Amino acid sequence: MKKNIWILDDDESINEVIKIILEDAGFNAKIFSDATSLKKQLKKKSPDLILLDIILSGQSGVAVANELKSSEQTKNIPIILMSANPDLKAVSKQAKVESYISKPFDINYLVKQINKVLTTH
Amino acid sequence: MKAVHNDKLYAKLHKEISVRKSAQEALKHSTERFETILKNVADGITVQDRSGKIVYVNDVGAKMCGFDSAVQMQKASINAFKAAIDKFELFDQNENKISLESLPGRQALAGEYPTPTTVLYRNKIDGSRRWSLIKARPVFDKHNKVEYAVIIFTDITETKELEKQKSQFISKISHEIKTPLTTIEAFMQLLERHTRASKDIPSKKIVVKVNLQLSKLNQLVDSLLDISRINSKSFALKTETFNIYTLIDYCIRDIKLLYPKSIIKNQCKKQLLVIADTQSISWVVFNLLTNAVKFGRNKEIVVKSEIHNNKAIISVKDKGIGIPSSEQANVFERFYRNISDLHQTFPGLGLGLYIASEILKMQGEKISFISKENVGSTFSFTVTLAKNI
Repeated sequence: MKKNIWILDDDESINEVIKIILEDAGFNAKIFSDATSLKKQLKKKSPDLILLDIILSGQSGVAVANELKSSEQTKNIPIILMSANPDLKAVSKQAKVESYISKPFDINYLVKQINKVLTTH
Repeated sequence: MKAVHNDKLYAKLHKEISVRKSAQEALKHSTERFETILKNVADGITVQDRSGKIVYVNDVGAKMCGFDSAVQMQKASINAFKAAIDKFELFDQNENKISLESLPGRQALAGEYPTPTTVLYRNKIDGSRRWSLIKARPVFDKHNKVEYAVIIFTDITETKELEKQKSQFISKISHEIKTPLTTIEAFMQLLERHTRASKDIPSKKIVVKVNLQLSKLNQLVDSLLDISRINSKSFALKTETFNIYTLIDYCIRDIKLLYPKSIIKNQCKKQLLVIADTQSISWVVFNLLTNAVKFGRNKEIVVKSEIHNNKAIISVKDKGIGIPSSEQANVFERFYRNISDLHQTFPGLGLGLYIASEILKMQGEKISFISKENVGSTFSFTVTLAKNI
């Protein structure tokens, strides 16, 4: 069974490239460019993992993570935060997410990190 | 006889009086001239006597202290003076609250020569903020006791504001560049993966070249981000114990990937445990090595270590173009670039040594160099030894 990974980033091209990388690595990847559409979809389905960018045009990625982690229905979905922010590690710790990936990233590292989170959760 | 004597006496007296008069006039003239100069300088100036009483202030200085003019300030009662000063809250460079006692004027009154200090004045009533650079010097009497302290206030609010805007601009621009860069890098990695199995050799070579340029571009953007973080003092340091010999070896290995022709020898002590922020020290070593390669005319580069008290001194020596003595004072400035060899242009923004010196300064370490044009340069920095070696 292919694992379902959802990606939320407001940059279209990064969404596109991550989708290719993840599909190449054998995942089902679904992209969202805003938090509202992702949350709407979450009411119907639940992914195996969410890749979340910190800087979004509407609600910030950290706020989205906090919201998902405080809801009974979504708190068990592992989240990986992504950002070019040098303080990403501290931000991720505060947001209580499972992991983080600094941008720009190595594509092998991205896949490795996703697999690691999926096996431990 | 008597009359003659009186005449002579009168003439002598007259001469003496007129000499004294012209001396007084000259003094008055010189004092007036001096006061006009002091009045019209853009800096605030105050002179305090040994008891701390203000004996001179110019208009700018009085305005900085919250008075309308120098005359009003000098006439003010002690209570009025206190009330005017109390209107302000004082902060240091990093916006930590400081007391009036810690200002350079007090140190000058104690006979010291304080270093110029940047102070932020916040008006408690209207919340307005002004930055000031305060310099103070003691004036000694003939018994070598402090007679006065001369204090000069330069308003640097605009400079500070511009610095902040510049920092924010650099940070914003760098983030904006990072976003497409991330995508390009990821796509290039995918392309590299797809061409790996192909027999299209020219395409493979192109992919490698594009990747190399991308990593250079990334480094540039990272340097810009580092600068804005240094300027905004949000550079996070994590101190730990590590073997700097190994760290230097790793840096040399990375440099050799970028510059395969470089010859670099690590002659440091093989077990040299130091305590510092690994990432930033690695950044410093990498930058010193990059400079040594760039300006080293393909000659051998040697990294050495020395131990002095509780510090390790790491030096990177090249035999390259060197830095002309006329330029040496600017080496650690932002955007400084070595242009001594006009036949060659060197890539870079001129930020490496500035960042290196700033991140070392933050850790209480120092960087210095000796250099001779056409002979070469040696850059050295200190790093604290771990206690248990």
